[in-house]
Amino acid sequence: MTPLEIQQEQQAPGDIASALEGLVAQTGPRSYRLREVAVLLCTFALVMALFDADALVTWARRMEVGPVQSAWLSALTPVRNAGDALGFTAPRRALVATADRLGRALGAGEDPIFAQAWRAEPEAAAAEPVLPSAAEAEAALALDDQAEPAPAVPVLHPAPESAAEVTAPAGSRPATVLLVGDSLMAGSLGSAVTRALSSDGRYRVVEAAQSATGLSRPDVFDWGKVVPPLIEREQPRFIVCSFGANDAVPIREGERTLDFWEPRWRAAYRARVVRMMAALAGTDARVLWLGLPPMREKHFAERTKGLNRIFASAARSVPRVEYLEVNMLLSDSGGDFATFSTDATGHYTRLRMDDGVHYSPGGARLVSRWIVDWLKERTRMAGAPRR
Amino acid sequence: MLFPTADYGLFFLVVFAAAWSLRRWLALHHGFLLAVSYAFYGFWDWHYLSLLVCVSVFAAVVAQALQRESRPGVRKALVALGVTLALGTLGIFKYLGFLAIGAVSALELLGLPAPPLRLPEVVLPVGISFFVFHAISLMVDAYRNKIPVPVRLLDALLYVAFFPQLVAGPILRANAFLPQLTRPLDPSAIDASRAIGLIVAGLVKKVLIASFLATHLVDPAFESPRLHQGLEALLAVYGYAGQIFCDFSGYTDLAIGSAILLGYQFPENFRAPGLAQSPQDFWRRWHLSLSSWLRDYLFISLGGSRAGKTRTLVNLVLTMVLGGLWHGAAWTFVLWGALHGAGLVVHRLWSESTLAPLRALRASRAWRVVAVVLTFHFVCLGWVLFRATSVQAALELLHAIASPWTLGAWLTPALVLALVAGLLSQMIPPGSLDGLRRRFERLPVPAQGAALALVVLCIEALSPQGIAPFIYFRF
Repeated sequence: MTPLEIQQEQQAPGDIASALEGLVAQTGPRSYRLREVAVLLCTFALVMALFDADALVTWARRMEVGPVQSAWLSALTPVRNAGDALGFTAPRRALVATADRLGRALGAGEDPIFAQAWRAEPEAAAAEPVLPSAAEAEAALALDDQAEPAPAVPVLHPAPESAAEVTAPAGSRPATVLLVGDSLMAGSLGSAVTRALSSDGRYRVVEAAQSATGLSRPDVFDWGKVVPPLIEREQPRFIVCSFGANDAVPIREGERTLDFWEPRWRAAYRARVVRMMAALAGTDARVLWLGLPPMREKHFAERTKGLNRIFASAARSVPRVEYLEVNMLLSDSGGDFATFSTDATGHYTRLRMDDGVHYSPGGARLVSRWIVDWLKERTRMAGAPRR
Repeated sequence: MLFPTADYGLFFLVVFAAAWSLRRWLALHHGFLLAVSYAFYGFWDWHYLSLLVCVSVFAAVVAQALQRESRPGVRKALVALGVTLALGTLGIFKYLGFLAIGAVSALELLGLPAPPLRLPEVVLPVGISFFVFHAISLMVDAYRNKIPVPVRLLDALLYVAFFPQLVAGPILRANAFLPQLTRPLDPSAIDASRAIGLIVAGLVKKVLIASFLATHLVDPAFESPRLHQGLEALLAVYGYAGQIFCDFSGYTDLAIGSAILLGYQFPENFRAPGLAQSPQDFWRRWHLSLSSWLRDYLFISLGGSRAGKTRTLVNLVLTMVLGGLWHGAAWTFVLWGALHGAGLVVHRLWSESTLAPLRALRASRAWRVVAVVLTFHFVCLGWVLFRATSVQAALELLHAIASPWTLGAWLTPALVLALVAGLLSQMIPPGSLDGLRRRFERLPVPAQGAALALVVLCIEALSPQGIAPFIYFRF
């Protein structure tokens, strides 16, 4: 059957004009021989490897840490270095710089804080691995022993200080609520919080979450470098964050690769969480750190439970940081993952997306109610600014 | 593995080299393509690879039995059993939760006590809507004696799972694709320049236009309609029309281009839908492989237009509602389908009307322009339902459009450019860039490869960080 016949098969009967149009489009005067296509694709691959080496190295850098990534990096980095020496990588860099300038001039620029973090070179990002202290290592090791019974309601681990320490509100300006985290926040949860607070003049919500990020891979996206300028710019009084969904992976500390949940991994990851909490709460912001919801995939669910224990334990050691365990909001009566469940009004509703990871709009609304309650409670404690 | 990534590029180059070097041994060649297709699927979701295999083996066995069997009653029973089981599979994986919640809501509405509901946790396997439709096409085409070659198991499995179309179409027809698998591959007639044109167009549409519109306009407006008023909300709807076209037709272009380079022909899926003059015309230009599937396997099976006028209109609406539901288990999709069904009915009544002034109006040149504008806005109204997270959110967005229109800092030159690009891309008829293609073909072959690389490099350098998955993967 010829292409034309196939096409006729697919279209409404009688549509002859369109069929002729398709015939003109499909019978080019040039047919390629296999050898020609092979030459074409080989030239394509060669030119890409030389001129787009930067992008290929970035691609390899974003793979999971491990032998495959190392192999790709050790194959591609020399190509990139040779390209640097011979000037092959310069055109793309010039193009990216021009596109950035043009984008900014036309109002299409990405947020410079995030754009810079995505483009940061790995050498700069992982220059000095901060090794966890002995105390942190001990705290991380103790995680194994904490087989806490599943709570019946969402549990808020309050910050280790009294309410009186909260700073006074800054005049009558709305308090900025900064939302940071990965795709669990960037998706429907950020929108749900924004929606819930949209009619409340006391708050200004800034969504600053980035999908496909976390704390395990600062070589890909370094939140540690993003948070200080972000806080400086936005001056938040409240920060709500959701990290960890991408973090159950091996991490690299200096030259070493640490497998997930081995003792050194726990110590290193807990140290990163503590540093991130301290950075977020550093000025005078109140931080609500959300735990991870139950995940459908059993293996992943086990891992995220472990991460939640790290978050809870870390939050206990950093002032002004509170940890909210959301598991019970989003699980079935047995405490396991549930795509569907009843909401507060008793209606049966979808809580999670089909991927078994992300919140559905309904699930996000459920979690956002707790976030909003927390915000209002803490605002009341601080003496809320009135309009 | 997403199409516009280095992963797919490398995967494809390896498959290209290996598949063509196996071309002399057809069974081995098909076996290799089947294995890499399963690997491609496993990369997404290896849990449900066995489901894909089971559905395709089942459909192949039924199709073979239908080709052997001559007793009409037995054939009818066979095809009914096959289609029912295929649809049942789709129902369990895709619609169980939706139907159960619908039933509970209906009971509540009637004031009856609803039983406590505990549904099994079912994952929606990637591409299930597509591979089940392939399976049905295989069985029904065999039933209708439309497959001109004997169905072989390996070919049938490859037909259902062939990787370029596996997760988001275009939907192939068994009667068009299986014969391609019985012929030896022709290494002297590869339509490479068409494939390259499609791949470049697909990358530009997906990576540059669709991603920009999504992040800078559409997603924020549809996620929080209350925060986006007047003109911004309206432009977000136009933006989504551009985004979904660029996203989906971009995916299809990449799929068709990949298939051509491997020596196979896929059906066309889009034909300048922005130029549609009526809802009927729209469906001859938008997702052709689905609309023709629905026409041939659903509309015609329901009786088509042979059973009287009223019945025809009912069939049209029913086909579109079910077509809407195919896109997802949610009321927004049902309403989207119903809207299109209603549009088709109204258009049919309008075009059948024999009143003299109406006939004069329909024949006028000005009316054609009005018809294009009207049809575009009708389609956009549908897109509001299609994109909104709920019916309520759709109403909120429409309400926002009705609020006072103001300009603001949000309307940047880049956004205007992207909107115009998204709009125009829907109006380019196939073949209109053939001049460019001829010029490309006249270059020496290595220069063609270098030119392709430079274009892809530019697209990559201008792309935003991290590409969102294609919209149609969800269906």
